[in-house]
Amino acid sequence: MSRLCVFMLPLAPDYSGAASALFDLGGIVVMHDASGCTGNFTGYDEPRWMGSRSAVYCSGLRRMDAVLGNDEKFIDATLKAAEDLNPSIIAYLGSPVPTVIGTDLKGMAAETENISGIPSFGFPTTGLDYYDKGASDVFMALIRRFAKKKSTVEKTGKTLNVLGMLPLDMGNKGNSDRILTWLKNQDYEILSDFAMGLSVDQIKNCPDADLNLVVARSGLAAARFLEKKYGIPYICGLPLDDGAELKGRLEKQERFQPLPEAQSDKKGILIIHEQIFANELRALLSKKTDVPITVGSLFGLEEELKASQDLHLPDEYSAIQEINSGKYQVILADPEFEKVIRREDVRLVALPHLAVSSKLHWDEYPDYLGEDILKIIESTVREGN
Amino acid sequence: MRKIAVYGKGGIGKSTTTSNISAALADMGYRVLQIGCDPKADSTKNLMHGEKITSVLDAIREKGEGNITPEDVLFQGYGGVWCVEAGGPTPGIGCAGRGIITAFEKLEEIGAYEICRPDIILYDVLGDVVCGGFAMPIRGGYARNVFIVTSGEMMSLYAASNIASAVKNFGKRGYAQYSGVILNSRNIENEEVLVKKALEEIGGEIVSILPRSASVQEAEGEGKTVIEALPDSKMADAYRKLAENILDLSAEVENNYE
Repeated sequence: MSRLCVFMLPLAPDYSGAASALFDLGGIVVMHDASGCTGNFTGYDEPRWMGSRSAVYCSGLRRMDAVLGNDEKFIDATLKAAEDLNPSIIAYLGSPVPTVIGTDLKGMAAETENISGIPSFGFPTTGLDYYDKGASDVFMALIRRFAKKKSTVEKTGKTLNVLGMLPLDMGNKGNSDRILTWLKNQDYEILSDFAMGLSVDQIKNCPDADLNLVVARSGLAAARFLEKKYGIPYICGLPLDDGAELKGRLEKQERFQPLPEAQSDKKGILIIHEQIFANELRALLSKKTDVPITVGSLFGLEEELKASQDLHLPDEYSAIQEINSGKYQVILADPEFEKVIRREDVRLVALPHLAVSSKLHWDEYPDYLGEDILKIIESTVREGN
Repeated sequence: MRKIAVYGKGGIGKSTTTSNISAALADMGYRVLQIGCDPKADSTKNLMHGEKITSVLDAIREKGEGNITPEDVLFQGYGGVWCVEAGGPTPGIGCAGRGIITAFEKLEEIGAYEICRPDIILYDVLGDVVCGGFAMPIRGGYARNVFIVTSGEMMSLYAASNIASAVKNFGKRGYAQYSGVILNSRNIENEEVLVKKALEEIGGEIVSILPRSASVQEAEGEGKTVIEALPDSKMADAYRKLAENILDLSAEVENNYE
């Protein structure tokens, strides 16, 4: 029960992350659920859904299907849809009920592929983990399945895979396009973008990249795998403001943002957001203020990206405790956190995170590469003084 | 690595047979892991000198799901055979099939295969494939070969037929192969003939015939396998021959561990 959200909205679950990672691939995605999980993804977690042609289906799992184990019915319906849609892949995603009854999603996928010849996947998402895990598992499975051997053609040194690009982190206001444009303006050739605009061909060619850029934690496991298997180095970060910070690190292939030590006894700033983005923001902020800046995450922290003062806030209660601990004067976080600030001396600077507030604020994202982000920094510094 | 599941009707002698196969394979120098997949959690008793080990679900019940360590659920018995019991819910309530799935997930999570590094895994599975949980040992990544223990009795052959059908049904998923039956004799008249007749419908061959022998009860009385308690007996020879036949009929597959 500790993960119950009383004031905040439920956080984006693993099946939403998985479906989002698969969204642009031209496949069929079947959520094995009664319809609530599919509705949660299409209605609340995926801004690309309305008006898209992406084939995300709900299996319509009912009580007697669970009792009788009607896997064949769902496989047949999927195969029938595949006849019309000619999908690049088929993916079955789990939800709480298949988790409880132990549905063999990988087995269903194997059977589907045996009959249709279409590459098929079963992802045992449960609805109990968060979006970043779901997306991460999809990236890994796609790379393991489709990535070809590294080509022997001479490298330009400027080819790149982008890993972890999802609306659940980047929002609905064009940040992903702006980041890609910025990278192209730095003369990088994008071989693959996991996962906005992702295609099977991009996945096949991703081992040929010179470098992987991990823009969110969901891409980190894939980056580690690509480094281990193909020797491709990776760095973690995304361009903010004019991108000068990242530009320097890309050139030096400096893997992580240098992390500060907490030294001041002043009341500080708490950034609650996706860890890689929050680290970039901290780097910009620390040029304007000397107050200690802590990164907090509701979704877990990577040890190698974590400063000593950073915090995993595993549930709403621990986030509320931290926000109101008296240690902070500014909270830089999703607007929904306003509800849980109980101290007069704490100010919120709004920074939407789709995985936290779904559609409520997905059109309020700042432009990461423009004045918006500078205004947020100025506002944070002003509130902190 | 070989991954083998032993199925069969309740009370037919699966655990006794599986434990003796494990012991015989260990004597041949193989690293063996035996996983009991019956809520009764008594598959490995004769490898552990009659001692009942803590099952995975018992450990979860006692320590909480996130607090299990390999030492809680991995035990070494005769010949260094690694013994695990999946265990089950409180009798009469809960879900035994889901329990097996949970136990398998937990074994992977705690790195059990990396610790045991088995050459051979033997899954000893409750009587019949009654739900998805009891099919877990033959799902992708688990057993590749299924052997069914049967006698010449009607109910035992009926169960064998059901199990073989279930395994064949999973053929489209590229799962385990049905690899034959082990005839555990009950000394009924024309027993071998009866089993062979049934196999004309079920398919497959008799892998080995285990004679009815008092040695089995004698060894069990000591809480041991026949291989350990009476290594020079004819019954021990029969189990050793069965272990060799199983090795011949089972496939080498990819390791569960790096």
